[in-house]
Amino acid sequence: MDKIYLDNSATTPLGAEVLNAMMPVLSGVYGNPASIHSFGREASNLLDEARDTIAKTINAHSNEIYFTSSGSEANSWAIVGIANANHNKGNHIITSKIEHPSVLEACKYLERNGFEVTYLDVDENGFIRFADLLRAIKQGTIMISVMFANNELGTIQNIKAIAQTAHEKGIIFHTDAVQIYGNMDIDVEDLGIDALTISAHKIYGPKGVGALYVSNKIKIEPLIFGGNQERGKRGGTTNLAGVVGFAKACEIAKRDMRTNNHKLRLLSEYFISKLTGAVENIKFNAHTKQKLPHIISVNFVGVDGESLLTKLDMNGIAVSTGSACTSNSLTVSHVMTAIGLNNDDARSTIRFSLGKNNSYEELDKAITIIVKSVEELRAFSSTYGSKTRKKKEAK
Amino acid sequence: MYNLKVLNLFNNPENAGRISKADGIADVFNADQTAHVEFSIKVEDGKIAACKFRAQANPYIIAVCSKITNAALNKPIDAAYIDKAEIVASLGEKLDIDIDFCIQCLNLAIENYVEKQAKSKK
Repeated sequence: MDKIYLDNSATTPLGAEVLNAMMPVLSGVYGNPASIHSFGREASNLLDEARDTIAKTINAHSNEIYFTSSGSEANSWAIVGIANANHNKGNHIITSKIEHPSVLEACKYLERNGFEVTYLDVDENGFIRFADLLRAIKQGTIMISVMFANNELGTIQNIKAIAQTAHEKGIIFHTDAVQIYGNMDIDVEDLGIDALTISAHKIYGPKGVGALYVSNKIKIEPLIFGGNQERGKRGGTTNLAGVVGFAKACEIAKRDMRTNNHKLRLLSEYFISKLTGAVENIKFNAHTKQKLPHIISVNFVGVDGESLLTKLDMNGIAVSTGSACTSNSLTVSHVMTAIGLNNDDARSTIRFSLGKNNSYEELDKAITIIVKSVEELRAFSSTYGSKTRKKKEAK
Repeated sequence: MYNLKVLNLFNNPENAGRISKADGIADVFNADQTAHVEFSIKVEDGKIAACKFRAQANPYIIAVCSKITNAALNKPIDAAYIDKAEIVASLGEKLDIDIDFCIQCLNLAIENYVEKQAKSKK
């Protein structure tokens, strides 16, 4: 059975050029970058080069890039580290209800430790409302964290305007750019971003490597103590091969951005058009032009998302319900709830996320299987086409 | 994610659908409104002669419903007890997923039959 991967927002396959860049490091460079002998210096040089490469892609200084083990680590560190380092200025943080759990849970942790957090509502497309943001800002607000592009909807926030609003009030601005990095040029200076999270495995790099950009103008407390790595902010021997692979992936993403974006836009338009023609009673979430085109969130009326995912998986197609982090649970995605979907629509949602390796032939095959699977599930759906549905709850 | 028994039953569910002109029918949401099931029954000589289900639910619940319909067959209407442990054991997998509402739904379908019978006698 040919497999078709349509879950590129969860993770991407490792690029061949990235693997080629990593192999010599994995096999031959085993020095600790913190060591001062030649083995260490060789590793340290590679680490510096990687840091430079990544910094350049977002117009940052290399000493503003900190390597982490993941985007989640970088997000959690940004929230907790910046809040704690700036506690003397206030204890209020603003974020949105559709952030990644690594941001939301870090905020909850801060709430348990004396901070106050405002979680902004979003509209039906996943955009925060500026009026809400302005209302939420108060004396003692020290940080605003709003994700650049949402992982379930693809919605792209107006980051420049949010950052500008933050800076006018002397507030630090962090953004989770994990989903958008590699799909759009990001200039942290121009956009006014103080801290930014990125991750390697979303851009055809290796798993287990992320980075946090922190402007030299702001303070952040260390995440891991007991090591001088990452300029004393994040202890632990660096995953050198991973970091080298990350830098290569960043370089390629920048180099091929225009070509890939063009391809992804065409593939996405093709998929949406074909799917719309092939399956009746579907609804697209975040129907806006200000989004990442390759993230396509669809409600299949009357169909349980997890059942559809399972049927597709049994036929070799990988997709996601809501987000990968909640797929094991019956709970409805917090993002779907935040955009105002009712339970019926939220639990009927599938996220397709296309990647640069997908082809039109794959999409055609996938649509054929989607049509069959949806028909099979709707054939015995208790909610589809039922005119006299009673909402009784188990006692 | 699920074992083969669950997946096979999910992919080829037994007794899926609705009995036309059912003698008893009921539908129920689970507590957090993330799954919905419907059971319909045909009663002959005081026994459940046919039992079908429909669902908008995850694969495990669909497999459970399929098992319940089979377990209910030929049971007397006044003693159609469904053993939850038996259902779970037959699937070879106990998951942290509420399935009580599926059994309750069958019971409600039986109640619906009993109510209809009582009304028709009046």
